[in-house]
Amino acid sequence: MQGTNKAEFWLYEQDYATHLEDKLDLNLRYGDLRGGLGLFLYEPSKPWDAVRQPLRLLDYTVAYSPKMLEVLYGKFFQTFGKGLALRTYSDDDFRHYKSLNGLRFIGRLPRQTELVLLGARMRDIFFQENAYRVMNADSVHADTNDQVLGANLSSRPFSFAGFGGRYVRVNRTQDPTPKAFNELFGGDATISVGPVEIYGEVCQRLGTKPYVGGREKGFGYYLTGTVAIGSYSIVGEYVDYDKLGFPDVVLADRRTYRYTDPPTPIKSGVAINRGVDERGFGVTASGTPTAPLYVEASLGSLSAPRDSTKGVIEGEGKVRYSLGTDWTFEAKFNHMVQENIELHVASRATDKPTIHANYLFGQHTFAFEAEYNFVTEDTGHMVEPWKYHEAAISASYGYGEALLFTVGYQFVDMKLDRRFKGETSWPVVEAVWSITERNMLRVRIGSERGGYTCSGGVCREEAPFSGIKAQLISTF
Amino acid sequence: MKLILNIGLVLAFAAGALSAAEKEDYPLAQSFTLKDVTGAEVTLDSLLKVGPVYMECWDLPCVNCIAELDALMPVYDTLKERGLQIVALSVDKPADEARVKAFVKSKKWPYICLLDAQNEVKKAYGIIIKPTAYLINQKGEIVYTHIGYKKGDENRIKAEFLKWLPEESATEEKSEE
Repeated sequence: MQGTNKAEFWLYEQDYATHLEDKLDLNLRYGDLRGGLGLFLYEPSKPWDAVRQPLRLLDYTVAYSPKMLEVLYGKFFQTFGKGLALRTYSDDDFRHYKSLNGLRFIGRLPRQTELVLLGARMRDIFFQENAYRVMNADSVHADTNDQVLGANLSSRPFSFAGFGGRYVRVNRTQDPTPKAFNELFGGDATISVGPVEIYGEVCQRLGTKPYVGGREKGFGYYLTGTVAIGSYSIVGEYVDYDKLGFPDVVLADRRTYRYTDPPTPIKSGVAINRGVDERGFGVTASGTPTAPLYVEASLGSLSAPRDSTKGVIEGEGKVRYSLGTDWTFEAKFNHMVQENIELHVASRATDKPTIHANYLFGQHTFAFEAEYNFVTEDTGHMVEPWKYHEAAISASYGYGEALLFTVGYQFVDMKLDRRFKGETSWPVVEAVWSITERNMLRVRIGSERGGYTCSGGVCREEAPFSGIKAQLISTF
Repeated sequence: MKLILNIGLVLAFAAGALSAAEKEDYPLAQSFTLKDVTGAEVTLDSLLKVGPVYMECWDLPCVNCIAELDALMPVYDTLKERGLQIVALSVDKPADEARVKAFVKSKKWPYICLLDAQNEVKKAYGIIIKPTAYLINQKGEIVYTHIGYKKGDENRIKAEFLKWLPEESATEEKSEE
């Protein structure tokens, strides 16, 4: 048996509210039989409101998996292709758990061929405004709280070529319209020749206009190419989505749940509308000219063809250098311009240099990090845009394998009521204690600035935090 | 009352986990089959026939994971002849597969780089924080776990490797045969 447990306790300074959180995963294996048990608890202190509600979930998985097949019942994660038709995952860093619960069959055939069939219900747990919610639980705002049926065939019959095909049907629970479901048909192909690899995926959506009826079409194209020679490589990505994401109707209260989160070419994970109307590209070049030196440069752009007021462009350069075994240096510069991406922000341009240094001296480790963000922000109703600076600095000291202390300080040189609730500085101290090799305790006291953050095309506004956070992680 | 019960439940789990972690029995590592960055299928069982495996879970945004894999390169160079294998287990999204392959190539990592796009191995091993790494001996037992990384940890990890690798003279005799 194996497992992990993550327990957290948060105390909010402002009103002494608390929340307790626990995520336990147990896995058992006996021959070809596999079992799993998952417990997820989110317990906020009262008073509860529409956002802060307890969440108590118990999941299980039972699977029979001899060599050539697997039959599973319970909770699982599955992505077809690169995620245009179906993408479910567990992102612990971003606190986003998008899972399926039902039945899955996997057949493994010769020539690296795999067939996946599934019938399940989706559950999307997301952390926002310092609370966990099941995002697709509400049948009025969500379009995916009934069955998801899917089939995927992927094969690599030759070392230089592979292909795949898929079908996904997403039912709705509340819509009297005939054929009230969305169907996604997709296919992909891969070709690898020497240092070059090209992958292309296409996906077509056939949906039904809610309540009024009538077919609704959408499509998505995803193309990526890689050239890797010696210790240098370049990756290019192109995306084009038109009503692939659904539903594309945003209700007046803005709580419409969006089913898809197809890939975004923007390195920091920013997307415009998750597959409804997006077109863009991304390029990353990287290499190791000499053993201790690593360099990387990337450029990404994403726009909405039907709405020229929305778009994002990001460029980043990074250099990392190791001086012997004791010193490591990293310098990075990021430039980003976002237009009508965040709510109530017409445009936001940032230029952010960052430096990071690490030094090892016997049993002692020192780390230093500093970033300075030059921000120009316009809400669209201003005579002059705001120009301000955000900065963050942190210093860490570690002794042996068990202890790590960090002191950090973030500040902004303008009082922004809407963005930071009028606060301008956020000091924090953190201690990490590796109690044993399998148990780690982390305690953080102070404030966190929060802000707009994204991962894999899903974005949220992280609320500022002030108080105490304690986290205990155990593996067994 | 319910909150007290829930807190008690969580503390009981944590205490159980702590006490379980102190026992000397090593848990068995779950076997798996994954593709590496060249598209070839790799099984844990085949790797363990060669020598112990140090498997580290990483992804592109994890700076500490990449730092650990970079720092282990000199350690791997000195111990690979004794059978040590290091597996860099990427848990990046399927859409990042091309970037992962390009990154691994440009980093010149000598490791076995596996792609766990469906996060099956991540889930089977219960990995929730990155980096998390497991040292698996040739019996398939997880004999050492390393959570997190800070500079200098590679020296302590090397000391663990040396406990589970065959003696240097035994390896030389074997190669002479």
